[in-house]
Amino acid sequence: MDESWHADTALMERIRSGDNAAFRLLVNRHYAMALRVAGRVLGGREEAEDAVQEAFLKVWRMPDRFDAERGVFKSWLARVVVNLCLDRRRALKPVDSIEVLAEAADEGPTPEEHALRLDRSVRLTQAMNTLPPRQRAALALFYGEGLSMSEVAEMMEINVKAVESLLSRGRAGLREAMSGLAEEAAA
Amino acid sequence: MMTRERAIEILEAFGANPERWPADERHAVEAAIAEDAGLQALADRERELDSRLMDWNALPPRAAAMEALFAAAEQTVQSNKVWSAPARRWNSWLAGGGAVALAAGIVAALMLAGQPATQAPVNTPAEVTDTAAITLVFSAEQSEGWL
Repeated sequence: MDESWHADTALMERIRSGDNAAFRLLVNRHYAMALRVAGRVLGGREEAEDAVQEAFLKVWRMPDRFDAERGVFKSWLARVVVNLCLDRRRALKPVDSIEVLAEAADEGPTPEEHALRLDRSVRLTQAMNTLPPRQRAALALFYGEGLSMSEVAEMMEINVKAVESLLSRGRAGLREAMSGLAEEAAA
Repeated sequence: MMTRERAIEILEAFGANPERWPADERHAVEAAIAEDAGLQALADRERELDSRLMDWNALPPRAAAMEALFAAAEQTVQSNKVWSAPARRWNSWLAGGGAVALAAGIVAALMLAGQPATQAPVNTPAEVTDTAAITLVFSAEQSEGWL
């Protein structure tokens, strides 16, 4: 186990005894990752922030649920976030505002470049919205977070062949949706 | 043995970057692509999708949302405290002499109830048995006051 594992495990020990400062440190270490995953699975900022808050409050309220002997905290947290997002996604309509996408899109060196990136980002997000939530989650973890297949399998509580299937169907669906959007734009 | 079908499966699931392919199949897929124009075309198509996936932007954290989370945590009681707190209060009450006081109170009530009633009618002897005394002490009317 690495330094990060020791740091997270020590913080979780302190959280078990009600140490709020330790909770803040743990949140600061992992909030960005949790929000990236939630944002990619859910699409909208408000929903993603709510899901991340719910995940961290679970950590605070029930710290005994995490067993350091069974894995690293980051993976366990990502699993909690993904599960919460999948639950929320089932009851969610795909709504992504252009404002949110504009905020998330990287600044380009020129206004034209920024507009181009924003356009690509909007189309990608619209295409992502056509995918089932589990495919989105697999793509978010494998491509968005750069995790390995076995890590994605652990976080989604499925086997590696199922991950491969989700990625394959996700990419195929994405390609088809983007092709359709390009045809609409051209028409 | 790498088949063409398996190479296609790998490209379509993991994209065109060999670093993302299963380690035990990587070299075989690379060799298969090198000698198959159809697989090379497929790799090019998947490389384009890989590039699009790079545009999948992530939301940057907002300080206000993190502060809202910290505030919510401060208002949230941890589950181990929810369950253990009543036990701790009960234990401390016992340790503080509460049990002794309760026992003394019950004994005193029994003794008082066991004395003959001064206002009892002459033709009705105030015979108070243990059972009657206990019934009196634990009557519903008195118990309501304790609870």
